[in-house]
Amino acid sequence: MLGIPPDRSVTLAGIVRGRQLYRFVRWLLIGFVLAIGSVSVLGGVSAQSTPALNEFDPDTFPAIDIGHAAPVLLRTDQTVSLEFMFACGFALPMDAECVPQATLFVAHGAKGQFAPVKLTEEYRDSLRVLSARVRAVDNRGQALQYYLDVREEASGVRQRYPSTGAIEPTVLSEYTNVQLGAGKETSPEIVLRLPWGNGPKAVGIDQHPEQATVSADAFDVAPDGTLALLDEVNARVVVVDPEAKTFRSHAIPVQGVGDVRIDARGQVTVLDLVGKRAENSKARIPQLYTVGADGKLKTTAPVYTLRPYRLTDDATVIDMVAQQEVLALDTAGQPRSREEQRGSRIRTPLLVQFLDEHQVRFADMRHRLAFELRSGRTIGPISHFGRTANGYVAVFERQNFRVVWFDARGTVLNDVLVPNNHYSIFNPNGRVGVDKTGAVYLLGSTSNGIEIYRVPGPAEVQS
Amino acid sequence: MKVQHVGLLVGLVLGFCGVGSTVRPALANHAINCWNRNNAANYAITGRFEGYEWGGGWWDDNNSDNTPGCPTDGGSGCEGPDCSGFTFKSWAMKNVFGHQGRGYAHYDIGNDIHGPYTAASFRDDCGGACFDVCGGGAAACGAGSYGNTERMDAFASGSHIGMIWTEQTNGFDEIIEALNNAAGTGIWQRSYRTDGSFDGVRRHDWCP
Repeated sequence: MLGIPPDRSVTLAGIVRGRQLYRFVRWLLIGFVLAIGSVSVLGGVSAQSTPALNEFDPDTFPAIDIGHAAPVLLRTDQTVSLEFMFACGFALPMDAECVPQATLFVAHGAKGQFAPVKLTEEYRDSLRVLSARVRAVDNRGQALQYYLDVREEASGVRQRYPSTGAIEPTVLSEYTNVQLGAGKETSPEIVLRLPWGNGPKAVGIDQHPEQATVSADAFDVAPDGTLALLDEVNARVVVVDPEAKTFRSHAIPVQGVGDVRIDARGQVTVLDLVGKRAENSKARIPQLYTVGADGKLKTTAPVYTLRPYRLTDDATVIDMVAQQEVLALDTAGQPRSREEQRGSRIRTPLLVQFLDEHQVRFADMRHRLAFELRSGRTIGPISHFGRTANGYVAVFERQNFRVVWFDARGTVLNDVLVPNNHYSIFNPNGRVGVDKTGAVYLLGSTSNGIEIYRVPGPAEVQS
Repeated sequence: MKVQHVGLLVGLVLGFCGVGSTVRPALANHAINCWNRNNAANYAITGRFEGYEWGGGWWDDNNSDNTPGCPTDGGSGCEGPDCSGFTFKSWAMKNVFGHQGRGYAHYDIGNDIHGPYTAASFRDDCGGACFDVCGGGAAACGAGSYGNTERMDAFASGSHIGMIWTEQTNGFDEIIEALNNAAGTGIWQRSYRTDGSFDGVRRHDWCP
């Protein structure tokens, strides 16, 4: 019997017939699985690699990043506005917007009970900001402290800010007034000039279109005038004696943003703000390196904190959020664990508060002194505040540097304007060093290379 | 067409559509109706800890540079945005230069799109798609400009651009930026606000 080939073309009627329907569904499922698989592999760039919630780090890289400029120095009669902004680092289903909710907990005094305070939601040119106005002290004169409890319902994320403890602004009733004049322009001495390059007496530069021009990011000066320059492009620290005759180079795996300190014994400490990947999370953890005077790398320690930004004169790390020192090393110079670092935090004694372009505050809590500087001429962000033998020195960065020395009574000893040469970019907290005479050293750069300037302190000027 | 082929085709379409609708960011680039500063911040933070590539435009949010040491030659396909590409994608601008490009477009972080703007063209108002938020022409915003700027505005020079993350209590700004090959993309304190080579710029039409 001559058979007629079965019609294998597809029609709706055909599909609904038994065997074709079975084949259709079977191949539909195969196609569906193949599609999911290929998206996972090829499109996994975005679909699969978004960090899972357990890949965040509570101390250094929380799932919700909180933008907040925590007040540092307040007056007792002050009411302060606390503002919080949010950015979610985790994935939500398409079209779902991450809108974290938050509760602010406020207490006054060390023994005060934390109580919730209502946050007001506003949109500033589309930016969502939660804020509350709180008094610096309560009726008993007890100082403010606070933390934030943050929740995101769709993901189930809940976190605390800061991760441990509370933010405790320093609240003072009296600030010594420091009234600045116009300042005097000065041409500083150049104590070190190094050309761009990778030789022993050169400094690396990384310069390309569409990127910042990166070179030595920070430096420091030892009490005797020895200089330590963080030459990140060449992954080293260059140590130069006060006469700029001998150059020593110590290899350090720094990567472009950091800070450096050198002490009286010649020990160098480097804070690497780019950091290394942690073993158990996808966060990069900032690193602290110490190098002995013999040039040998002594210690490498992770720094478990949210916003490290500079080293103190004693080479401990300061976190921006609560102006706390994070002790990454123990007294023997060995790395502390994450838990030990959490428990070791102390409020840094030298505090700064930028208020506006004409007014700033400083405090030296070791000596129980606080100052409010006012200037008719613009002052800029605060690059440095430190003690000298005769009082204090503050440096402000603007189109010029402004360097101000004043004593404990608030008398201005000298106030000078120094050119701010910045062919390359810097860590703005790493451009100032002070030697034992109170002379200020400033880091700058030109198209030819790095320059370090020295501005003599008031005692040297008077003599 | 055989029934197997039709089934496979339908399955593939359903599979792609199904998965594509559950991930963030979307797999495809597409026009969107709205983009605000919060969207931009959520988007930009996926670039933190990623690499940098001159002329580049993609990253994958695994917090690692997948192509470290990749030559800075543009168009090499290496991971990481450059500074202007990072800003362009975070601001969700249309891929058309200037005034014609105003509006919104969403780009998957994994798609290698740089956009039509350089740092210099951002500084020079994007041909009409962004504007000088501080006024005063080419002068720096200055230390008195905190009331002029908000998170996700940017500071741009002739060769670099970074977006404001948080204004800090020492007067400097935290900036989120694609910096260079060594450091990659991250959040660091900068003095661009008072630097005479930088100008403050804002995207037109942040969506309410």
